[in-house]
Amino acid sequence: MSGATGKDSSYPFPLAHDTYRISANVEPAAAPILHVGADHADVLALRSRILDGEPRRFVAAPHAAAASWDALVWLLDRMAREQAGVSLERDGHRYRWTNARLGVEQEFVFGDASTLPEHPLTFAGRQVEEDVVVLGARGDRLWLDAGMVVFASVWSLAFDHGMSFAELHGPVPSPEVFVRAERFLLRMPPGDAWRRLNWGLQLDDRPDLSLDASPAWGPRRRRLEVHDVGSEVHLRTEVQHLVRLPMTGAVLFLIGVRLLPLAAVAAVPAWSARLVSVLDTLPAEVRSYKDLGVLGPMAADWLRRSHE
Amino acid sequence: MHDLRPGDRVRARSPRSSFTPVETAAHHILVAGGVGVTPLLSHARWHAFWGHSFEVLAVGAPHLDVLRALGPVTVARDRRKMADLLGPVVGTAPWKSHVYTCGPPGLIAAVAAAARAAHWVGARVHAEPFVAEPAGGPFEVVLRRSRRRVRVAAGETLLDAVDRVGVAAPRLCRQGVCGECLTGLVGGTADHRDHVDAAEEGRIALCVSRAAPGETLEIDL
Ligand code: FES
Repeated sequence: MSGATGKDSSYPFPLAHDTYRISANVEPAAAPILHVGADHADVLALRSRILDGEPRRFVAAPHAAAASWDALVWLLDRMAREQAGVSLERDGHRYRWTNARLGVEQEFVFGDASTLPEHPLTFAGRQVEEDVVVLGARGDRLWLDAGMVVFASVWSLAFDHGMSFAELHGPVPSPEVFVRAERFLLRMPPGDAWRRLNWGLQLDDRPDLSLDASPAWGPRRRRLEVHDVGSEVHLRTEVQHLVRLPMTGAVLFLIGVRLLPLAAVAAVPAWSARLVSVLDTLPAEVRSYKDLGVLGPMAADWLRRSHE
Repeated sequence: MHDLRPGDRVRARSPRSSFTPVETAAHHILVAGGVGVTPLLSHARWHAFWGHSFEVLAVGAPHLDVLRALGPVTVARDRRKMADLLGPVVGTAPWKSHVYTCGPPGLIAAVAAAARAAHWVGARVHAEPFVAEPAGGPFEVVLRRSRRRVRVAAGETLLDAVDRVGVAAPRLCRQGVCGECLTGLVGGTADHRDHVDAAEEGRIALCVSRAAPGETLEIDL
């Protein structure tokens, strides 16, 4: 599978320090927000294949309709600003969307579901590399109201649907970080966009590590079946964007997955040294949360040896 | 603002409202006092567009004709009449209704009282208060390691001031949330405005916090 392997030169290496602790680590987003890699068409095809094979990768509560349209227009407008061959024309509530790269041309009326071939979120979600989640803001809390997520990292959208922000982050070792993050997101002004990076290690190049698909990747992961560490073990960087949607105040959460084999990490000595240092000093609870008990030391040893 | 004349240029920022309709509500009651009608006009347009159930109660508000074209509007002649109106409207509203008030503090309080009397929970009562930006007077800071003394101007952040004199300081969010810019506070009393409890660690968030009035800070930078 060649999906989302980040083969371009601008890999978003996620570690800013020699030690790692769980933090909100948000920074103002800079364009482009939506990634278009060398394997763009493959990634989009894979996204559609997973969604069509497993409809549970899309969820939407009835009260998320307006926020989903808000997300759709924001995403299409963003693509039109950032990408070539893409345009969004507007006349009142009527829009015409052209994505020449995919051969998509669609007229629709804002808020009128009958004018789109599918739900606004999957219509948008099939045309971007990023997974798309809509968090509704109600009663000073955020709720997972809708989303199309095909590249989840060991979680399940269908399972998490309807959870509060605090419940979503229940398994994370530093809950207080997410209490603050939620407060921050709720205070974001409409239209603001922020970026954060998350990371992990995995022993293949599958972007889809959803719990829904665990029969496909779980057994090998549990057995830690690795023959060639440098080519099989991948650094998984998630480029996450948080956008306060302008009309509804819902938070659009975008997750882009970028995979890089350890051999490519080793090719950049500064990255290699930093990853080794982070893995060597990872607090026990973070190590177990990220499931790096064995894979972490294995990767660190391999990187150390590759520089001998 | 009152010194402005037609043709003057003004700098505008996009709205910073967190006063959005609750999409799970069964019915929306919009209470507008005077020019407080402004955000509620947008609410009314939104509800009319999506076909949500809503009504407007207005006192001394302009743009009534616009509102009437969108949905039901009840106008109270004065504040006292409005107070009489609120009880029955809130008391008979359908289960899972939400009320949104924009107007003077007295009106906001009257709506809250009516909702409480009808046994509503606080989460169904929304108001748009007028808030002043927190004051930020000038102060001085001593950068201990760089051996410099920097004056932080009113309206400038500590982080901006440090940048201005070319001393490197880490940062990400610039909103007192991420904790990236926390720096050791060696001397002086700070007015902490961060959300990461910097004070407990004897540190200060350069992006949002300032000196307490009359204080000079010394930081580990
Ligand atoms: S920059 Fe994030 S807390 Fe200051």
